[in-house]
Amino acid sequence: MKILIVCGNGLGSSLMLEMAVKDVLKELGSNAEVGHADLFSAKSERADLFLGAREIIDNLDDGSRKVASVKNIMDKAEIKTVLAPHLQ
Amino acid sequence: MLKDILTADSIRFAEGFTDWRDAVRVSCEPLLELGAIAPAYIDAIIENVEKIGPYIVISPDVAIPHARPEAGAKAIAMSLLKTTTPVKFSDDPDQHARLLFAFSATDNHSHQRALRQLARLIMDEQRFAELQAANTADAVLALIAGIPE
Repeated sequence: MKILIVCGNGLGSSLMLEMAVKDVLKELGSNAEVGHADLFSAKSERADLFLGAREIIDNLDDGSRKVASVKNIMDKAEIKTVLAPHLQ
Repeated sequence: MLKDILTADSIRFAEGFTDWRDAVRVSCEPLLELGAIAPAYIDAIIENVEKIGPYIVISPDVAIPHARPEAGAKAIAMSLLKTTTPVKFSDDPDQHARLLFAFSATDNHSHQRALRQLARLIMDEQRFAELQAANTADAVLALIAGIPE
């Protein structure tokens, strides 16, 4: 499984969220692959799940991909709740 | 390392701002003074937030004003602007921030270690509470010096 973390510029919050996501995946025992990208390039990338802050995902959610959003990208509890249903 | 790019001169304090744009501009002043960014970089940050939304507010009380390297970044640098009253990036209280970490990066990689450390600091409840309470540059620097890599 590949999770793509998306943010506005691809170098700030996506990096920080990626770190929190990796911590959470480790806790959940998942070996999902994690990458990050800016909003523009994310539109042409493939991934099983696109994850980002709400306003970013709102810009990406056109029905063509599976998306999930978090309100607080530094809140591991929220990230875990959002990610768990997508990890089988 | 965070302590290498966020120095005493770049940690500033302010009462508050009625417009988040002014807060972003003031948060970027240390970067301008260092020559780490061109003025256009600040305009790019503001335009992006107006276009996409307040995504630079990464968690309650914390914003990281930044733009793409090509928007006018000349060097890696970071500043911290702490305000007494929260800067409102939207009507949602979770998107109000008293800690604004502005940064510039010249590529997609060089600043990663510093940002990871910043994330560690924010996710550490105890340290983050101390950061929220810190009211001198020295207190902030002491906290930063203690973050594990």
